[in-house]
Amino acid sequence: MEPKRDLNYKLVDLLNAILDTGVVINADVVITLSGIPLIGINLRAAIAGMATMLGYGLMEAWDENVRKHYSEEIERKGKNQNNDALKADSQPLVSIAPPQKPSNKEN
Amino acid sequence: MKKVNDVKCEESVGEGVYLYCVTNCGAETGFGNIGIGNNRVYAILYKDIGVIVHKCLAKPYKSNKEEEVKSWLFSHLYTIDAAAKKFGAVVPFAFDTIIKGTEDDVRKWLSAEYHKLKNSLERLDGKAEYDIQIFMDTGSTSQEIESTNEEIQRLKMDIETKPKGIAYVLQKKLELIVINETRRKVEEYYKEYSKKICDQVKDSAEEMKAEKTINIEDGKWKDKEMILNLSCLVHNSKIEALGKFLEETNKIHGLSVRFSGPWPPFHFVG
Repeated sequence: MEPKRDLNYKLVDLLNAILDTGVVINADVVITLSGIPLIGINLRAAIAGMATMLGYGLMEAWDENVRKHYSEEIERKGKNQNNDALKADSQPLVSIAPPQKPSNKEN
Repeated sequence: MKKVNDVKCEESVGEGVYLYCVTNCGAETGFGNIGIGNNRVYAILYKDIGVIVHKCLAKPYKSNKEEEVKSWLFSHLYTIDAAAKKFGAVVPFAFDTIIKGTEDDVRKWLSAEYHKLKNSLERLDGKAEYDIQIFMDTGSTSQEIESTNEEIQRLKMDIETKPKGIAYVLQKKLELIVINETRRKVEEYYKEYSKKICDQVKDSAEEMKAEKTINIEDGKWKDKEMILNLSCLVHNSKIEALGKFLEETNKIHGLSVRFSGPWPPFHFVG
């Protein structure tokens, strides 16, 4: 059996990776990477890259910033609202309609 | 390094650099306008490594159109592939990783992380990511159950002789049995094969990660249920052995295998 370069599959896989990761984090944040401001407005989209950078020990400051941002947000919104409200309020970077029945491209 | 003058940046947003991957490129390289939005892709260098980039505004790509996002993802993937073809190992970035700043900022980052990046490139050398998905054919399993299960055969006979109302209830009962039995069979298969398959794959792969299983609703996978979704980092020399094993697995009654790759090692750089 030979591996196939099934591009349509991989794009869906990458899309899923964007949609699946970092469910809670989804807000405008400017982050710093070794002193370089790095932007990832929807952190869900960049999260795999973030993981890479965390692996390199680059993102401690980012992590702290994100935590700070969220605790501030939650405080600002009061105790009555949950994370869903927070999510709905923030600006998605790649806002894609929920997975719909895909067209039959694979056949 | 040539200066890029053709990109005008809105003052309010500022300059940015979109990152595709880090690679052992060694010398100044242009890839042409293959980037997202047909941007010119080139390498920013430090010593013998470089990061493959295009200049952009310091704001992420954003769209509501799935087709547009897909075309961006395609360009992201295509550019990383082009770099891998030319230079071998790559450390890929996720889609939409943008550094706010100039080429000098990127170079500073490269120099600070040089040793870690170099180690990663060494670890990934000669290897690529392959995805292996094992499906169970739930469609034909259900059919089999429907034609062999004794209780179902009894119900079928009953349905033929009973009045409409009762027949309807029995039909629903029959359908439920098929669903439950199919589920039981899937679990049985999972127990029997998942560990065996994982162990075998591990023999060929340098590294392996089990990902969440997903449902694929189109094409030939429509009536199948994914029971294993593996990402593997595999050395070139092991592909054949892995392919052989997967071919055998594909022959097991009720199981189908999807083997895809080579891909940039997205799952193995975190």
